[in-house]
Amino acid sequence: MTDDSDAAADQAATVLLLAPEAGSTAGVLSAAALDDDRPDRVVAVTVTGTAERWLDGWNRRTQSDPAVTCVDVDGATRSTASESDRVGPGVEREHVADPAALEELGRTVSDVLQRADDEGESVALFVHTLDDLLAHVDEATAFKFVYTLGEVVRRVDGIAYFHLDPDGRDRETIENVSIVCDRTVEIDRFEANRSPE
Amino acid sequence: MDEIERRRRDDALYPAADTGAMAAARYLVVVGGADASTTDVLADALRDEFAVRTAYSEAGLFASLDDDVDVVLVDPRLPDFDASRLSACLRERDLDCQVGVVTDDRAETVTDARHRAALADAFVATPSEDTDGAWRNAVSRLAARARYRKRLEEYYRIADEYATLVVDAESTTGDDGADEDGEGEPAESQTDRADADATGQDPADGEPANEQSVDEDAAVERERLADSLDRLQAALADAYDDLDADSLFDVVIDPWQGAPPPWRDSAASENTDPDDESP
Repeated sequence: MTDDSDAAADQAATVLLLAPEAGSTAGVLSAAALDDDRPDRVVAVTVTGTAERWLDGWNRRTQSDPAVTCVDVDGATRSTASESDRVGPGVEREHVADPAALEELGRTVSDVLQRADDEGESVALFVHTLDDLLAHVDEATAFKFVYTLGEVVRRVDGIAYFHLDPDGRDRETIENVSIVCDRTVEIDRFEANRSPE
Repeated sequence: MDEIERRRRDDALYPAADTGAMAAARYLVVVGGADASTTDVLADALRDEFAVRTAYSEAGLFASLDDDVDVVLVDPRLPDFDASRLSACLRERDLDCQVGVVTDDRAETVTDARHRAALADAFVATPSEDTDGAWRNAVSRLAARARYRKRLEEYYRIADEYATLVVDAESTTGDDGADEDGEGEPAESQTDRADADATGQDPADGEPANEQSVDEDAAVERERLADSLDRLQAALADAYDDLDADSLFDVVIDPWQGAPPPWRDSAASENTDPDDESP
């Protein structure tokens, strides 16, 4: 995405990010999706992946230095004190214990976004991944979660990227989620791992 | 509900030229109370602003519930009333109404408090001369949440139908929907969707839909659903600012999604905190 992209893209608040299952490269994928955009704060929601792994990929790919908030879902059950220490200085971290509790996850992310907006920060949100959430809730609930989070992001003039692995989903699910997003972007593994220029 | 019925309902709910009709529709409230005279007083206090049904027993309350109901106001002293049965009834019938438990500090028992903790989307204090406005406002807040949730459910239902038609059309034409124009480019935006439906063009390759043997009835249906999606999206955006809730997620997502419903939590029965009176 570049500054000279078309008007529709400039107005997009929600993006369906179709990309291979990221694993340890989720942070790399986030940086690749942002391209030249430079938000003041990046918020990363990780479900199966961890905040540490996301940050590792993010720091490998990006040359910018936005503030970072990680919302680690199910992190309480797998994190140790030493892992928390490794998140790094200047990185805020939130925990949501239950990946099926989208009400709590939505409220937590909304609070983070609202605080950023109150501080006058522009914000980009990444949800890695919708596949992980769909392992815990039905498609209707995930759809409503994406729609509602999109509305919250729209109110703070931010942008949200919802990552879905197209190889792991049927076309109907992809089409369904794309309806509730402003635009759809596909990134392949090569593009995600391309070195920044 | 068959397809013809559904179309008629959609046309009534979402007329093409007037999305404001949804907001203008009167909310429907069911008031269930043990004492008929008291219940009727509560109902009468709402009638100039809301459509109201009354019930004086649990069976009557359940019989009053259907898709049209936006708010259930229930006095937990209703004979034979059980909060878990009402919650189960709402879920089994897939009703998206909001429940307000009518409270009265002066007469509340521990059992009442348990019902409140297990059931309510909000607690609604009985009105007095001084609090009549607050009573109406509390009901209005619940009704707005219910209507928003219904619209979002409808938005999902129509999106699901639309997605099915799109995928069916792709399988007919052999288009798998992949972005063939290069990496990092949008596959199909909502603007693309509306334009494609209006012109019969497939945005992926620009070929006339008719030349790709796309079924005309399916194309017409797809266009109709796309119009409904656009109208619902606009109505939802308008309604968003009118919602009075701590979190929009509390309104649209079942809090016990994937977990036991709250009335099975024995801890709920311990909640007798009078501070819980506020919605």
